[in-house]
Amino acid sequence: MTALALPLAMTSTPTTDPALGESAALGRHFVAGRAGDEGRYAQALRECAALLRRFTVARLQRMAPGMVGDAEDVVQECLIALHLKAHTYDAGQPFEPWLYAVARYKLIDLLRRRQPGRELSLDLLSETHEFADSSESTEPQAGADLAVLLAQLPDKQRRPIELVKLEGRSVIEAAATTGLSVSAVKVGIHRGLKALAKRLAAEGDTP
Amino acid sequence: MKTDELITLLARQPDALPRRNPDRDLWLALAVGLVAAFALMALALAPRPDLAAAIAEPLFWQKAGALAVLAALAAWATQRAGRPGRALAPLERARWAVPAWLLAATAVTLAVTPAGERAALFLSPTILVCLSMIPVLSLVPALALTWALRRAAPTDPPRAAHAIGWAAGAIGGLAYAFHCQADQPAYVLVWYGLAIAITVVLTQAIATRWLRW
Repeated sequence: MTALALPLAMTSTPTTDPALGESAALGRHFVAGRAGDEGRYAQALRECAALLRRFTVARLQRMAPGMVGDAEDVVQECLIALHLKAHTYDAGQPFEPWLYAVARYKLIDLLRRRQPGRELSLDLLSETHEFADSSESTEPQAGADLAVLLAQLPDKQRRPIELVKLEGRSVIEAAATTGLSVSAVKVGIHRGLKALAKRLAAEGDTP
Repeated sequence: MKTDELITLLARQPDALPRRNPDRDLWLALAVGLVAAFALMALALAPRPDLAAAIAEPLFWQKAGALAVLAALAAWATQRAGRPGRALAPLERARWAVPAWLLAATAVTLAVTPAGERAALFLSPTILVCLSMIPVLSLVPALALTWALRRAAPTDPPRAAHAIGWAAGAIGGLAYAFHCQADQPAYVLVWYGLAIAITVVLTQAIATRWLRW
């Protein structure tokens, strides 16, 4: 655990230590980034996404091979969960067990939601995924469209997300623009992201 | 939606969310639960008339102490249940030290009590009140703890609800202990135990679905 005592302000690529060092570094980046360092947080989330993708694909291949095409939905749900539940990660603890516990929960959640009988439509869905992936880009992509999902949110949640998260305004500016209070903007973003995660999941259910 | 877009979306002003502290939430829930349980006991049942004499008795403190330790261990398990990746099993096992302790105390008491008086150790005119009021006193603690855990991240909702049930039942029992005049470990083990078990079963049946996220 002494490796964790490195200065928190460190922003460059962390340590050349083996796996444990990297995991500890990812945890530090995640916590420091979440506290307000955008670049560092995006980098940490990208690393989390890679771990989550590997984990989800491997698990689905073993547990439900017909649903491997839904792996990216799970990855995205997990990313939103990591973001919304970041406060439940204790910085003194190893990071990866936390990450994988969240991933396992979201994966089981997905498998529970998709009862047998949905298997057929899911196969179709996974085919369209492959289509979309190969024709549009090589980037991992899930079925749901951000713009469509955002448009379904109530104004109180949609406007704060658009202003702060998409247009890059500060929370205070967003509050002034919308006439909401600062805490209402924050709550709107929080609830909106939660609702977005739910719709993302539902979207996978009913293609 | 591309995953990279989502990451950009999440990473923009990452701190623009209400600040949360799961441990503070849990302390708050425990405080609210304790105050509510004791207030309800005082108003609906009234403290035992011999309270002043009882608090001088080791038997009373054995009863209250057992329930307080149980509440603390279960509350600790509740805290762990809200943090993904933390082990729960050791705390779940440690909980059984409390019934084991009461069982040992019961055995000692039975050994030193003449055969004809042993049954009386397990009895009190208020058994039914005990069985019904402990779950009632546990209601607010259970709700408060569920609220706190919803704000954390319970990755095993049935097990989290189970821990809440134990904690709430023990808090309800602790409040009830200040009304109930039966201090024998035999009585506490059997009837408080059964009342807490009822609370655990009810909590698990009701709260599990509220803990999904």
